[in-house]
Amino acid sequence: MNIENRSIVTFAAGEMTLVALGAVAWKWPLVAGLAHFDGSLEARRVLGQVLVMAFCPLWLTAGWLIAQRRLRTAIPRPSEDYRRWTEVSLVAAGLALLVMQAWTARNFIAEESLGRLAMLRAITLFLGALTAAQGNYLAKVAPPSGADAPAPGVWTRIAMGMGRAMALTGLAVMVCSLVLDMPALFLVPVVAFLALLVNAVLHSRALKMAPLP
Amino acid sequence: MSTVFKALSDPTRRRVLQLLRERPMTAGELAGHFESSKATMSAHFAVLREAGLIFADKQGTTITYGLRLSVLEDALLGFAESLGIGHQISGDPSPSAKEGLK
Repeated sequence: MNIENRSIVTFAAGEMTLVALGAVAWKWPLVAGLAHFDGSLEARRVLGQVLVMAFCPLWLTAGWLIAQRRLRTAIPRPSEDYRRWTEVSLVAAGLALLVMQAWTARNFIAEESLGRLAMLRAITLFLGALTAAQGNYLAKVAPPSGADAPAPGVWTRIAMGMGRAMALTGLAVMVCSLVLDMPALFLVPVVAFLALLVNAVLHSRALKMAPLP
Repeated sequence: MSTVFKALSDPTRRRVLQLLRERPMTAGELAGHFESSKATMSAHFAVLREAGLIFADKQGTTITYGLRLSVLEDALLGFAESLGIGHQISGDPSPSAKEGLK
């Protein structure tokens, strides 16, 4: 793990944790009021904002730990290129979460929902662009090596298929982020995440079933 | 990006990329598919390497080339191939190009 990436992720996760704790402490009576959740618009706003503030540092920390563990223990051994590709993707996603959480915390403290739609649109657009860029670059990443490594030609073909699916999903997310409104817009990242998960599982299975060199 | 466009503008280099889609090949294997001299093919490989579209793995005196295309570069390759860019200028030894000229 490169020291710059580690510093950025540690800083982002730490900052988001402090922001979440600080905002909750500042507005504790609001949070305590959730114990008597009545389903009102105000209660739903508070609950949504608290969940977003808590989700951001948890997602980044969990994502980083899982990715590091996978990169260390995966067989066949991922290439240096692939490690960089994974880390840069996580760092970019982490910085997007940092902005989203900061804006949510600002609204939580001000007790309003200013620019909620615009922020969701911008974050979705960014995540779509990131997914498209990740997919575009995937087939350029050097193949894994060591025990059970597939033939380089097989890796290139499978990575290209996965990359195309990711790039198309990313472009679709970008278009949806620009044309859809709530509540459909809220579902776009969820549907895209499921599509990417299915894509990853299918291609990982194809890689395992591919003949060895 | 201009090195990529330059690399993809030549039909011989595009044919090399198409051949590498199947599997990585040695310089000799690739050169066997073309009538050009080895020096000309080496120049083509150098242009493709410079553009980052292929990688070279040298084992002793044998160089094996493999494909390293991004999705966008792959789309550009398909686009250039479907338009037949460069065929009129240099003439493509591939059968598909000959059929296209008939």
